[in-house]
Amino acid sequence: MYYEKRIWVYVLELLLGVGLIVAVKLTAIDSIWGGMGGGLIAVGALRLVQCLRLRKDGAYREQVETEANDERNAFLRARAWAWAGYAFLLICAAVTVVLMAMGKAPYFSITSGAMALLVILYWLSYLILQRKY
Amino acid sequence: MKNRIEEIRRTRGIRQEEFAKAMGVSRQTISSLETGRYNPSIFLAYKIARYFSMTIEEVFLFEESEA
Repeated sequence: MYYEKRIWVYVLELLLGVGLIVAVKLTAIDSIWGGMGGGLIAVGALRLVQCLRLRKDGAYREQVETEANDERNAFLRARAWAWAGYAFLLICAAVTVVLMAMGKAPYFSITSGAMALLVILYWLSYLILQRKY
Repeated sequence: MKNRIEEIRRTRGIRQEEFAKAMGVSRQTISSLETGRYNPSIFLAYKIARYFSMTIEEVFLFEESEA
C-alpha cells in the first residue's frame, strides 16, 4: 500500500523539521529556517496521523481510496488546474498592463516573463499530450 | 446526456451509497450523474449498465443535438 511507504517519508519530514529547529536554536543556521522546520513538523505530523489512521481504519481507507480514484474527482482536479492556469494568465496580463502604465520596467518584465513561461508550458504539454492520445 | 440511473436505482430499491460503493466511486459522483451535471467515462457507463444488467443505450439517452 502506498501509505506504508509514505509513513517513512513523513517520519523523515518530521525529523528534518526537528533538526532545523534544533539547528536554529543552536544558532548554527539563520532563524528563517525555523519557520520551515515548524511547517515541516506540522505537515509531517498531520500526514503521519492520517497514514496511521489509514493503516488501522479500513472504512476510512476505503473512503480515502475511493475519493482518490473517483473519476469525477480526477476530472474536477484537471479542470481546476486548467481554470487556475487561465486565471493566473489573466491576472499576470492585468498586472503587466498596470505595471507598464506605471513605468515599472523590471517588474513588468517578471510578470510578462511568467506569462510567456506559462504559454510555453501549455504548448509543450499540448504537444506531449497530442502524441500520447 | 440524460440518463435513467436514478429511476432504475429507485425501482430496484438501491441506495446511492450502496450503488456508489458497487461502482467504486463517491456518492457525490452518483448524485452528479443522476442530475446530469456530470457525464461518465465510457468505462463507468459500461460498468453502470452491467450492474443493472442492461445495455448502455437503455441507461444513457443519447441525443444528436448534444454531440
